[in-house]
Amino acid sequence: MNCKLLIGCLFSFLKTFQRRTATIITKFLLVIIASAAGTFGGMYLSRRLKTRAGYYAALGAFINHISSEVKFRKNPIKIIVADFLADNETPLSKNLSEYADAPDPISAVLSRGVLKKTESAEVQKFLSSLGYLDSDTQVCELQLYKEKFAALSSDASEKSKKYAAMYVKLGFFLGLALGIVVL
Amino acid sequence: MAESLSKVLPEHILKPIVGRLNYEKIYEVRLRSNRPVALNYGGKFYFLSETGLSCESENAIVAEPKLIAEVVVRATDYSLYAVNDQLKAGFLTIRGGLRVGIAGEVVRDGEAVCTVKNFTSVNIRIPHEVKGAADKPYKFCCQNDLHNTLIVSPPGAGKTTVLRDLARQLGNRFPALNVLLVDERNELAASYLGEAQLDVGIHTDIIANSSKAYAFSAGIRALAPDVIITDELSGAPDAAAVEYAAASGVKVFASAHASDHLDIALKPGFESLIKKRIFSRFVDLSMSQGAGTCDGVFDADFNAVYSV
Repeated sequence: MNCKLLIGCLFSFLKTFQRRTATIITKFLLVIIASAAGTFGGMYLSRRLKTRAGYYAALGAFINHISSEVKFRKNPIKIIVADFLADNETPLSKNLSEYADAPDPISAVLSRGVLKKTESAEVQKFLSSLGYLDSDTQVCELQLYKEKFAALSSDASEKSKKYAAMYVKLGFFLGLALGIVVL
Repeated sequence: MAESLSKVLPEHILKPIVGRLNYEKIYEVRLRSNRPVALNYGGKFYFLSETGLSCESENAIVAEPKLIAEVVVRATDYSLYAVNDQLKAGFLTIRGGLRVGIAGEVVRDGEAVCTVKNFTSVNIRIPHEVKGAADKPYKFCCQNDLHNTLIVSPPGAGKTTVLRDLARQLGNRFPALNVLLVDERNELAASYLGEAQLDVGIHTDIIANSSKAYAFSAGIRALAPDVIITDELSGAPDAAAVEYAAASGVKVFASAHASDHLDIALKPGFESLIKKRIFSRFVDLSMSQGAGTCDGVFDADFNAVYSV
């Protein structure tokens, strides 16, 4: 009879222990998932910052490329764009392809991507202005746009350096905190 | 060529041209700011309306100022900066051989022309290759012996078309002749991005958009031509270039504006050429039976070798 009681107590203890372990494991998994989700969220925001910085860096390189072509070789705009696309795979490539595929520069519709609405409109305005001016005026216009986009590029680059890693860490900790709070 | 025109003209102007007219008879399309669009059709000028040609300006399509600028930019493949030299010269040559003459506001830096802006009108000239146009001149100037030849006519009588066909025939000749085409205004071969848009013969080298003095000198040294063909001699520098070529043993086929060969001697710069008998053949062209009609071929003494 003592053995039966002992076995009964042991069985009851094991059952309770199993339930508690399962609960602990489930909670642990939830916290991991929340942390992972937070980290991925942070990585997404970080990548957007880096892509934006890369976009403006590519835009600066593109303006330098065009300026040189306009001053010296004077190739048609579509050839200049095609050459740049062939040599450079950048965040700017999609917009340049959209521009090159349009029947005329003014009708080109550019996707916004990582840019703000006003920034995208400015890039659209820049691309639409290409080819409508004589060489001296075009060179001056390119210089103006270069300075304008340089400021945006500098801002995007700084934000990327400052916040890219921070967003990943923040995402992780926020996810972790959320997981713990939910528990 | 209709495709080239469609790249330059907007839809509402292109539609009646493509839909209602015979493209082969269109020689010019003239657009003037705030004025009716005009066409040289079969040698006569008409207005362009939505239904085709019209003699009345009231029915005609009017070219707005921004349309003129748009046509010029389209003609440059949306690359106006790339054609500044051509803008300064007053014309562009585009794919298909179309020649777009431009009028506008000249921007100067002292005496030098920097560029042209605020375009006010364009004249799109459509070249038509007429194979066989030079048959008579070829027969009397090239078939047996090559003669230095001057083709003479008033404007619009077909000198360029005849010269182009002459280049084609000489350039395709067997045994081969090396032909140098000095295409100062890019009308003969209508080169676009290094490619001749019109047939000027297999053995033909082309120097385009260059002065005759430079092209003759550099071409003779570098390309060793047997024949040089060039359009529109005018003035002493051109005459000197021809004399240089003749003295180098190169045969020259050229053209000049005048009513006929007898008037050539009166043109400034030509006295020397006539006196030295540089040209042994003169070909008179007229519009009497359509552009390119050969009225006569004359020798250095102005005796008729062939006449109508």
